[in-house]
Amino acid sequence: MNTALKQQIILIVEDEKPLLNVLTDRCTESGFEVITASNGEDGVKAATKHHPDLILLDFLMPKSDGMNVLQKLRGTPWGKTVPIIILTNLEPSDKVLNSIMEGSPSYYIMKSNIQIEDLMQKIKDVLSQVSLTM
Amino acid sequence: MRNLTKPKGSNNDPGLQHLKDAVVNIWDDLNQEKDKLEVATAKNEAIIASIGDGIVVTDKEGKVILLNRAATELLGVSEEKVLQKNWFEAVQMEDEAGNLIPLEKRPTYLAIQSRAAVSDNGYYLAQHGNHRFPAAVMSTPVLMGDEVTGAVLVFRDITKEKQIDKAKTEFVSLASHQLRTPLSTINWYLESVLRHEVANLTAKQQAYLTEAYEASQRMVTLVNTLLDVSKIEIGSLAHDPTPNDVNQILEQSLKDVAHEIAGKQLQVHKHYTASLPPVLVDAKMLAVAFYNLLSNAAKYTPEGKEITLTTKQEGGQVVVMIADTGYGIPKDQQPKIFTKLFRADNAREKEPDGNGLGLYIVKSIIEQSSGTITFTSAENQGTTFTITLPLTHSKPTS
Repeated sequence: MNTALKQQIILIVEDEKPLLNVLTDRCTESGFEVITASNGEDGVKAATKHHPDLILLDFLMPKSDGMNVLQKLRGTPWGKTVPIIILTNLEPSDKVLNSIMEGSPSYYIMKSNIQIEDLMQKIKDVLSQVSLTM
Repeated sequence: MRNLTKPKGSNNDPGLQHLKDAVVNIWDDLNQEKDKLEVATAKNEAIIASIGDGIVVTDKEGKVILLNRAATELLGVSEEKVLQKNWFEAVQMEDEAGNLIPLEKRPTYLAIQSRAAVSDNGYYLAQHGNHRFPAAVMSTPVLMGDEVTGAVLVFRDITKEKQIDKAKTEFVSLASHQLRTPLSTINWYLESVLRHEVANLTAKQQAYLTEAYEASQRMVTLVNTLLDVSKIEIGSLAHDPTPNDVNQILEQSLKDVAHEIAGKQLQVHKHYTASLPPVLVDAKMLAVAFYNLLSNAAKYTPEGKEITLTTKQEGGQVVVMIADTGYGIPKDQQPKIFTKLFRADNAREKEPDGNGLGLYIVKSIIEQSSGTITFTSAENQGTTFTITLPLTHSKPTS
């Protein structure tokens, strides 16, 4: 694991304060460095500046929604490969889902259908997959 | 009809006079019939002209032999641009994205070929260079004895229905998002407290928080179920039928209840018929139906007992059977099990938390897929649900 050498950074983009807080706490406890943004615009800025190892992205947000953030990031050379887990409670149409999945590695998770423990596991799995393919 | 002229002639021959009277009588009768026929024809023409839906009648080659006023108005063309022309060339059909529907998929063509009525509400009608509109179409073959002589196409503009449908779908989607967000917050915080040694909880605190967490989980299930009901009640326009492998959908749904099945150590026997031809269904909706039936089978079957899944082809249908060896449905309550919010007494006893929506959802989905669902059940012996889904590449409605 390269976590011993360098702490991995997770960017959480979420406008719902309580959710942002609990996600921040759990990620910090799991040993990650956490950067947060509470709208899409700030999310893109933070991602471009800090180049996190993984992004947790809400979908329905003020100032540039998750879809916009995703498209903007996937359009940059760095953003093309960063793993993005979309965390939302909005049921996507097939069209939306397909366009999300085009920009791999993207994941789509319904917040109400996942336990936070499982989400932490998913983050670790995704990061270890990425480090394997690097 | 040609005008009849009164026979002329003056002759005093009594035989001839007789004949003349007879001819005059026939002439009068014919004239009366002719008048009646003219009135009837005018009436029929007036009726067809005033029908609000577009009507186009073609011969068996697709040549338009009649179209009514609503048809010309809806299509935005004059009668002579379409009448006596080939229907398939004169008026285009497109899908939502604007791709042309090929001849062999046009409802009128299918009706003539299959000798059965064909309906569809997923297509757009367009006249070259004119605006296009989403249409509900129904094409019925005209049969003279055994021979197909043509087809009658009835269509109407469903732009408004589509708009309402879209607004409803958006509302449901947004409402469910708003309901789920506070639930996610509650769940994640409770989970963090319960599973993570954040606080030193007493046994009682642990028990209280567990109750709260479980109630919140039930709420998530309820929101998901209500969302399914809304999707169904929005109607068939929201459905997206594509050719699908029933075995695959059933297998996927089985994975979704694996947890419950493992928890009760139920044995699942599978009698799948390999390589079933595809059925035209909305895969997501059919998965919801299967999930509900499987979840019921798991819930209402005692530990260690069996669930048997069968798929097979029977004539023009795919048959799916989901059989459990569970508590069964009391005889006197069997007629009500598909009713919204109804729960059988023994089900209420075993699982107080059910919402009585599962089988209502199942029946609605199966019927919207042009299928049927029946069941046999005996108390403490088990229940078998049998679903049939029509095997078809087109969408004949009769």
